[in-house]
Amino acid sequence: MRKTKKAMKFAVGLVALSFVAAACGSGESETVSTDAPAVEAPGVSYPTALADCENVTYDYAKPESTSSGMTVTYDIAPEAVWEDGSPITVADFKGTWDAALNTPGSLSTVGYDQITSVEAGSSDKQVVATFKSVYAPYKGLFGGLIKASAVKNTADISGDFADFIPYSGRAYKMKSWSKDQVVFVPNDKYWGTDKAVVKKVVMVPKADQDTEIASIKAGEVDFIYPQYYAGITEAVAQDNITSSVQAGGDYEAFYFNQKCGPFADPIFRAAFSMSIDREALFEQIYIPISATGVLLQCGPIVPGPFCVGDEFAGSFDAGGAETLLTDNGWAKDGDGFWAKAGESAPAIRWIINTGNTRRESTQAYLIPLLQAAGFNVKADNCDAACYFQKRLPALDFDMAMYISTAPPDPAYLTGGFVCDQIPFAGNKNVGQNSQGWCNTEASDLLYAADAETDTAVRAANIKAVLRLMAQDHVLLPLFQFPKSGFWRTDKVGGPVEGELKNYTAFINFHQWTDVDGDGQIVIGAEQWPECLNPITECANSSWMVWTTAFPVSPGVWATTNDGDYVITNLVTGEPVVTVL
Amino acid sequence: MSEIELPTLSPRRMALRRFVGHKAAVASCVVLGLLVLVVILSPLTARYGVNESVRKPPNSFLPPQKIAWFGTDDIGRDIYSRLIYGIRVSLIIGLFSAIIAVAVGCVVGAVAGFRGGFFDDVVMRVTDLFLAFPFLVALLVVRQTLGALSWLTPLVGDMSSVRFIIFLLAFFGWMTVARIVRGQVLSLKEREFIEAARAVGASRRYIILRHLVPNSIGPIMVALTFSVVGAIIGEATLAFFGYGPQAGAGTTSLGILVQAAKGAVQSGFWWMVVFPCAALVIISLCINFIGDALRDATDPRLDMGH
Amino acid sequence: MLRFIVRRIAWAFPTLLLVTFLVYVALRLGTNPVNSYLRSNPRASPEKIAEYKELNGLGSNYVFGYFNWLQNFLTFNWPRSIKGSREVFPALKDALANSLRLGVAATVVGVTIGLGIGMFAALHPGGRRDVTVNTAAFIGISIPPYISAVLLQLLFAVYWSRWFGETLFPTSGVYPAGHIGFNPVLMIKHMALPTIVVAIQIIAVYSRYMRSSLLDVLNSDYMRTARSKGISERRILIRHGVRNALIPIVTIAALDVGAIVGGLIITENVFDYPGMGVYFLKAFGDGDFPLMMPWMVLIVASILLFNLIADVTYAWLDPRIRLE
Repeated sequence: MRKTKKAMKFAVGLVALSFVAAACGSGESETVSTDAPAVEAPGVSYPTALADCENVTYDYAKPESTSSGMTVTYDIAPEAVWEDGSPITVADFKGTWDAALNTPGSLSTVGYDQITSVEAGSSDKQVVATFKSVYAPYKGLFGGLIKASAVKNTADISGDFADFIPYSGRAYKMKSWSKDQVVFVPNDKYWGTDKAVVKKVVMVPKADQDTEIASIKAGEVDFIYPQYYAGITEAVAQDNITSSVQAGGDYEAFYFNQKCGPFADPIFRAAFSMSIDREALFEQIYIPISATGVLLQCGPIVPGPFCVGDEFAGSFDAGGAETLLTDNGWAKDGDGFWAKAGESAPAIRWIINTGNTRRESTQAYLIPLLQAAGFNVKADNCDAACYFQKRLPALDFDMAMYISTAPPDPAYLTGGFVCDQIPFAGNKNVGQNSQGWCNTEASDLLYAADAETDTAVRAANIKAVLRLMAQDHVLLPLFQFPKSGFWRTDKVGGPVEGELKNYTAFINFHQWTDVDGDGQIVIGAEQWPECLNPITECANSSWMVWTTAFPVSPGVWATTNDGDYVITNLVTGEPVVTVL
Repeated sequence: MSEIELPTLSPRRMALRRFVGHKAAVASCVVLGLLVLVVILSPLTARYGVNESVRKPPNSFLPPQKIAWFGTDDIGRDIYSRLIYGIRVSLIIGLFSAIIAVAVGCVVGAVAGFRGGFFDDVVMRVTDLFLAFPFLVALLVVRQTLGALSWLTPLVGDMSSVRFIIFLLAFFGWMTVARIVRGQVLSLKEREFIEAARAVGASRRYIILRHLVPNSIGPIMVALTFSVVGAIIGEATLAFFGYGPQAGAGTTSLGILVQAAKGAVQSGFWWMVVFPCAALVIISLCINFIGDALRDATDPRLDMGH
Repeated sequence: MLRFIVRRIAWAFPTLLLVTFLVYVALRLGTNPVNSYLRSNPRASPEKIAEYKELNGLGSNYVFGYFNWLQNFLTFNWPRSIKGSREVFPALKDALANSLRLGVAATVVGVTIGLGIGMFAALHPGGRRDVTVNTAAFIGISIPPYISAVLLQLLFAVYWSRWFGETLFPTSGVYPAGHIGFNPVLMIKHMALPTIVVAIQIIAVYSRYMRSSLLDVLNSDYMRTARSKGISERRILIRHGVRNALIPIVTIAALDVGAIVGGLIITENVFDYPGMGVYFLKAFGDGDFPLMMPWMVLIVASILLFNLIADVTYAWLDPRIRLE
């Protein structure tokens, strides 16, 4: 009895041991903690700990504006009215400016902080906005008006529109909104010629992409607008479903944190950037998604009037990287990783948000290649909330990878790449330059571009900035991400594919037709807002604005499907810009 | 068919014979044994590395063929090889967390059952409440809390590592084991040989270690088997919700492969669904059969039925 | 008996307090509520942050903080969700209603069918019926619920609509899109698939319980006595066998029902069914402390309640305790 017991225990132990031995032999790597950054052995030349990052300062001052300002005059169409028949006047423009600028928690005051006053011109229907300096991206302002009479105090609308937007200046108005659906009915007071076709439009949230796809195949929704992924065309393949895939303003890129960490060293960063074969990555990861996709060469911008070059082409140069490192005192250590003489090999934390199969696969594909090239890259992922709201803004990463949506105007580059938009103690850690790149020449050029009304000069400035980005190895642009819409041909018809790559996404749904006669069109949404305030944090989500604010807010300029601005029927003509 | 029962057959032999009579359990042993063998010899039996693509692009979503027996995934990795490595990780997680759970559970359960009184009450109430909590909720909350206690990190490892998951699942496993052992000890406590030992003056520790535990081997082994399968399913559940070992650049696990299956179902890439899910179901089925047969085999009441 | 019940109830309250305190500590440690609030509201004013800390009892001392939170909870001064300041009570009420509907339906269906199948199998132990049932039950337990959920969803919703034009059962949600109001027929249609998935699991478990319990009873001494007395097998089965076999099952069932409230998470997740499980997963993912605490209290209270019911039922059925 004892013998069998002992024998059994021995056998179990042996099996366990063999597992352990097998496990150890595979070289499994454990991932780095998401909390504390890697603390290097003493003797590295750049700040690594987050606490040290705090002490990094930037010696840059935004150039003083020499202009004396400009005015923009808007002539509101006389027939433009809200859903209750009251006219749209200068009060609404003023209220919108006031709310965007002064509401606590306002998402973005950029642009509106350049306006010193909004007054009536010759009548209530003419608006004169005075800017304190020449502001080139003015077309992005007043794109979504708030009805001033719908709020008590336009200087603070943070408490309004928690779960309903009562006003409308477009073809549809909101009938009801809940966490399960939003219902739109036609706005009979709408003055435009493009009146709403279908009597009822419903948008419903779907928990995830699998549910979304099952829903459209089962006919529970008529149209979906999913984020594209490999295998989606096969998943949605069905006779009565058609699709349209268009390359829009979304792009994905690798970003390197240059404020502190191993990439603060320009040589190391350059060598790392030169060791990534973007073409091979494109073939493996992106071509399977969309054969019509484009490998971006300009920079963090999609092909258009401001992206006509190929500053980043030829970024891959493995031999050059090695020479660069060896010439500057780096050598491969015992593990085969590049280390500077007298220091230990830096560990590079590559952060993506979890749950995204494509990015996880990219890591699985690229990390072994990079490690073979001598860079100790580790996957260090966390979920979406932690990623976009904690790690990125705090610059707590070395290499990041995410998709950005670019509006038609390149002014977004300023917010993302100028020196004084790097979050640091001096500016109370507020800023969108989460790469920590500070190049004074580029910052000057970007600010100059924002004040330049001549498109050609502006384009030249931007091009120069992109060239500087390539030289400094700030980022590696990857892929212009496709926008895709899928819809049931037996349920919805009309110009469905007309506005799919528009920044305002499927904004023309008021012109779609109801094919199956059930009196409604159902659109599936991938995310659902918690609240509907178009000024505060609630609006920090594409799906929120696509499903609530954009369909009902009238604006001066609309974005087009080709990435341009065009005036709407809210104004009688192109607004007049006068430089003072 | 009548069999002459030799009255000198030891309980061990009878148990073994009953086990062998369960055909399903024996088949399960064979299947599981083969699987373990394939997995242990993994560098030899796997055809490619964990993250190695079978050829240059285009290599995504290839159906099963000569270069990839079970097809490839979205970046051209061989599902067959990944399955072998993944099963290895999952079996390691299952085995190690079960061993820790059984070790801790035996001790706690034996002491609780033997001493009774306040300690027993507390243990019973605590395990009652914890086990009644919805499993996934408790799993997520405990995972988060364990990960937040920085002084534990040197022991349990980082939240996305295999080691952490082993400890996390062991944390849940020990309670079921403790209750089983406690029950067994309670029923043994009143038996004559225990009374005899006590009468002779044996210490509590001696009685527990030398009499109670060895005589509970049956239920303990059953508990061990069900802990293993529970841990494997637990790891798969965690991975399904994205809380498993990080997929990223290193390892893969059965849970991760099954989670990838969810996205592949609609796209018609059946090889990404069938093989990992079948592996999971077969493994848990086999272990369930074995555990069931062990339970029947070591149940002393059935000794009387003959 | 009454003393027994009163004693049990008296113990329940301090247990409730203690367990909710532990939950409070675990959630504070694990999800870092203040950080989550700041993440979701990066531009919040210091007053709003202070108000949030006060309402949720997030002061530096855990014990005082807990009592602070408890005070607000008991006076129905519940803090709002960190995202968009939604009210907690209506959301929780809806989630509970949805989960209860699903859980009760699935349990009733599952237990009835499961017990029936178990009885069916126990009648001829070892025979072909028995083996089939046993294997099927095993497979039912071994298939993780998310796999069966996804496959069923595919079969009944997607493929069915492809073959027959209309879906048999909808894939998700409580009502079809665009529907407002209460409609029991539509509700049942939407509940069908999740109920089937959960019921499969329950059937698998309960058929085995019933089978083994019934076999135990049928082979026991007093049953042999009844048989030797000449009573028909059928009468034996029904009058003595089933009734006695049900005793242990009832206690387990009472505990299981308590677990239903939070335990349908996976099914709800796959079918996008807005019940307690999905409620918790979303709140946990956001680190939404004001949403999670009431949920936890509800779960703990229901666990203790059903423990109590199970104890009382067992005591009532077991004469030894009754006579105490």
